[in-house]
Amino acid sequence: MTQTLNPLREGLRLPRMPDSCAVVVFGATGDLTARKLMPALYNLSRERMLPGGFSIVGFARRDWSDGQFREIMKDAVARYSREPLQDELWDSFARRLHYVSSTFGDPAGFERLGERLALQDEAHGAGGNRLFYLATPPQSYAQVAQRLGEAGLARPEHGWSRIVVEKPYGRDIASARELDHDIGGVFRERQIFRIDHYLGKETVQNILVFRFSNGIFEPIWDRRYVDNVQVSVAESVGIEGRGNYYEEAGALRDMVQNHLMQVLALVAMEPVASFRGDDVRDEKAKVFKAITPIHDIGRDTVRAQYTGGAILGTQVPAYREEQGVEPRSAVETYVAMKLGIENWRWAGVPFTCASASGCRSARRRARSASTGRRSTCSRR
Amino acid sequence: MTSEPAPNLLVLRIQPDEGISLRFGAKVPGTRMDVRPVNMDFRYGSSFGTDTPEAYERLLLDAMIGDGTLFTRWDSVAASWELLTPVLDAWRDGASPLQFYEAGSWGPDAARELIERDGREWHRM
Repeated sequence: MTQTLNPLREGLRLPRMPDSCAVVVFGATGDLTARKLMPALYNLSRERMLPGGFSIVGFARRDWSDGQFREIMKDAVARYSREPLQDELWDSFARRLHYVSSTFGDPAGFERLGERLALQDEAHGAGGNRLFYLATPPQSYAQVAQRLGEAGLARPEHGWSRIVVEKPYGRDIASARELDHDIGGVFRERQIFRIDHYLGKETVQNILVFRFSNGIFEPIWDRRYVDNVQVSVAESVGIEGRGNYYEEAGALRDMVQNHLMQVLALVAMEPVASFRGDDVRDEKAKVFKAITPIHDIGRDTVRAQYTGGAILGTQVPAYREEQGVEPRSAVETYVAMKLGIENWRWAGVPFTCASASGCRSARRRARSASTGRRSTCSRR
Repeated sequence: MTSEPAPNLLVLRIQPDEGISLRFGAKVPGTRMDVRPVNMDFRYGSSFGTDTPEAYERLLLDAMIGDGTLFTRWDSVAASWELLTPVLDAWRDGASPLQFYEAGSWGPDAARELIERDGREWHRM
């Protein structure tokens, strides 16, 4: 097998150490910060991936001191980190943790944040670089962005400023446009980092490597050899206490609009010129443009909700009996849909997507993409 | 060969049991020419060990570096909502009535019909 020219390797040579910067977490007292963000930052620090002048500011309404914030975050990291917490490492990490107490609407709180960041620039040498992370309820996204703009923090004179926005990014096209208009009024597109944590998973990143770094798969990755593609998520648990959230979302908003569509785009996209800048995102955008609108929604989509039953021996109440769920709720915990991609590569190949909660699965919480190849191909 | 060989199947397992498998037909040992599907299997755990960074580690680092490759750009967010908002609207107006499935089952019958209508079947994870 000949060595193929591999554009994906290009990106690997880029330096992976960020500039000195301050990370500001809005919603610092919430679940996402405790379970994901703080353990991730701690592990990056543990692996010496963070620059010397790095610091963190937690921003939330609760009246905590720096000391309280550090203590509570220590508990969170001890509980949720993939590597056990080491006291010495934690102590040097904790010195970089600070806290500002304010509501997300109070301009004075953002003034204080600005002063705090200026002090930290001096103390830690962050050089005016700031990463703002919206780990707040989605109703606060626009407000925080607006206040950051008013406080002069969105477009600093020195250094850079970026904003990371969690899901959900809107609940339909109209609200997504409105949100983008609000955030886009303060930050430029280049400064906005919309998180889809699926894209950070090793296995998802590997889709492009698998396709384009191996000579044997790409030549058959099209409608001549692929009979159909399935992108499925099956959670072999119920919604487990997330009733309030789920009632507002449902499987289509929670899983399909973001994660499944992103995985589908990676499976279907054309080769990239490089793994840098906008090349991958340009190709994904072309896939989205080529997806045919679903004309017969009654025929090509299925929505369903689970009733009580046993999953692998564990009794699960019906969705409608979960706490926070309306007794007559019509929210879907299962969605399946058939899509077509009208381009040379995929014309005629069905892409079937499914997201299921409370289903049976050979593996707990399985997520996968699979392509069934034509049986004719196996006979050649 | 009497029966139609099973189609080849490539499965990319994103989570859990991370890995990739490829199904192909193999001759069943014996004096007859019987073919049975078998799997070639790659597992992250056995090839690379289990110390894999969390998605948030990579994404936070990329955001600090300023590399937006693994983040969603507005055009794809908008395109996805443009595709799916009509589905939400049609559902609200009663299209594709809500089905029910028992917890722990393989999902609603309608989902099986959706894919079997044109001669395919779900790959069960």
